[in-house]
Amino acid sequence: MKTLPVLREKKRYMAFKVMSEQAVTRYELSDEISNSMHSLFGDKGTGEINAGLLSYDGRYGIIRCARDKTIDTRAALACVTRVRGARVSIFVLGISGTIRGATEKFIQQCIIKESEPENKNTGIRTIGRRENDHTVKNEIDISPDNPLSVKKKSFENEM
Amino acid sequence: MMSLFDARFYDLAVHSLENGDSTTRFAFEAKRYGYSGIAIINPELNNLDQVRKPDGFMIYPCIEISAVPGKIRNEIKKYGSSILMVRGGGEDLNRAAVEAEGLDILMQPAKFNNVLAKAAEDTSVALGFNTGTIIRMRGEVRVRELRIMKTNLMYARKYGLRMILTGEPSSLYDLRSPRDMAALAGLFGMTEKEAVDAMSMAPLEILRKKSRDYIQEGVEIL
Repeated sequence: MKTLPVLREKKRYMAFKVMSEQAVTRYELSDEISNSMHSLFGDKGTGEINAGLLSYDGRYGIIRCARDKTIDTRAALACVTRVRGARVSIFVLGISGTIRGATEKFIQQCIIKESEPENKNTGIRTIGRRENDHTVKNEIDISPDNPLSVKKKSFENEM
Repeated sequence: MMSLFDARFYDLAVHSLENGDSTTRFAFEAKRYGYSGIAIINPELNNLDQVRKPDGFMIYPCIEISAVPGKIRNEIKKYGSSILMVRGGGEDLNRAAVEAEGLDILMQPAKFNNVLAKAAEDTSVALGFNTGTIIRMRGEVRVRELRIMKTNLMYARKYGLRMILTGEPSSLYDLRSPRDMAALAGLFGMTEKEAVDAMSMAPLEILRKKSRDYIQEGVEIL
């Protein structure tokens, strides 16, 4: 049965980006977030936050929380440091009132932004590349988001 | 719409990174997170100005003084042109730190009291709050740190001390955006406004103080 609209709890959706040394699965991430929340706010606080990991594709995700608990949720996400021994950090892209808003406004924007400056910034980045190849490997290590573009670039460099 | 977070943010206590490359990477990432500059604690690189960094992004040196309480003044004289920090410790050390003219930051002192706060007010030493402890620790240790920060905040408010908020990151993964830092500071009662001031206004004030020395002594800091 549907809840009465007046009794419906108000929610917020937080778009975030995960940066990690190793790939993090959905299960591991949600486990770690709920761990962090429990450790910070206890059972009572976690219950009030009403958190839920709605979607996560290995890099971007959306988490639901109560409308008046966005700051607490942010703090809990900031406290996530390690998953299975690998260092992880969660960067909140933005908060929206709808899932669609969070996806369109933040995640898609972030993806667009990321693909754009990479073209513009090549000047800056390629300097490092030319100097020594080692940095390239490191750079791929931190942002394993679109291995395709990296491959394409190194290909261009070879040309 | 003007937001509180439309300010220039600084993290004045970044731990020294392995080499120039990782410093560069850190600088780019920090810029993306919304910072305008960082200060590196006891940098091993002598040529911080030669490190590649984003346009408009600043990297400053920050000297963490670790000396016996009696020697703090000498150290301050020696490194006067950098940002100077003392990590809170025993009562003697804290007292020597807050009474030292020219010191900028006393980081997270554990046993702070009204006498020390009064002295810090006179010498305008800023109180440092390290949210890195909240991020990296769990359980009882974190409870203790939160308590320390809560009492320090109380004294800072009462005596109008400047506050500095830092995450003391030692790698890219320890970096948190200013909004996250404000949320973490909220855990021990700091308001958003105070947190923003502790990341933008107070660091800018310290940097301004340091750049005035530059005119006096003819030594340029980055």
